[in-house]
Amino acid sequence: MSIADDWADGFALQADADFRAWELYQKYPEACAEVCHKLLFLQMACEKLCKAHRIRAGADPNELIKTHRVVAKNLPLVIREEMIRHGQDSRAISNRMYLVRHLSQEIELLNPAVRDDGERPDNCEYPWEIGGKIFSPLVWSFNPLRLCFEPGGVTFLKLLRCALDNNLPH
Amino acid sequence: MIRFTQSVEVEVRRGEPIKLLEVNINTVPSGIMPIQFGPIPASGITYPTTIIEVTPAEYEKIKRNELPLPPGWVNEEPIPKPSE
Repeated sequence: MSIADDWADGFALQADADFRAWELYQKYPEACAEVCHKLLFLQMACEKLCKAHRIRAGADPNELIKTHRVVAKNLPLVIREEMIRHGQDSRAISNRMYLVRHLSQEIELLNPAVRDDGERPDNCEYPWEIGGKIFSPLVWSFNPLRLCFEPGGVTFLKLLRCALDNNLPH
Repeated sequence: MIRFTQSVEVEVRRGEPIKLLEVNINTVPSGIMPIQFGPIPASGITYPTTIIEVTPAEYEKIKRNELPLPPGWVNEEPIPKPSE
């Protein structure tokens, strides 16, 4: 085992734990304070899964540790790999990828460090200002992520869980 | 889409999720993997939901009792498509 393998395992294990927290909040909503807290765990799980995946593909862990911009680009690749693993044909994969890319981008934007050049200050951790008015994650609707309720969104979440399981150390 | 229920005593409990089985030709065959969704009051959804999404082939296995659903998924009631 190399140090890179250890980093990948560490990220994968933490991603799994973050996603389990998200799943538990979904299962026991009475235990959850706010939607933004659930989304925080979803965002953290996806970011760490992508980092584990990148490191396993040969990326330098030191270059990945501090960045938060890994989800929009890499999560679609992770999900695509998972669809191939499940025997999906190229047409089915192609049909799914638009939504997967959209959700991946929205999940990345949940991180307060990712602001899309100031266009998207909304995030699931800190208040932000638009036009002199302060907005809070507590009252923000996170509209695009409602797509998780759609049929393609459920498939996305299933594939995400499968990817997390497959990235765990053996 | 099929809604599953169990006894009335359980179904009326606060927090008991709406249980939905969705047969989707575009999903992946990954067995019984319940996906839970909490309420989203801002969207007018005030109840939790559990969705199990399966392929048509997996649904056939469920009907033949080769692929068991979780406990409590007992009485099934198909939900008509909006166009039906």
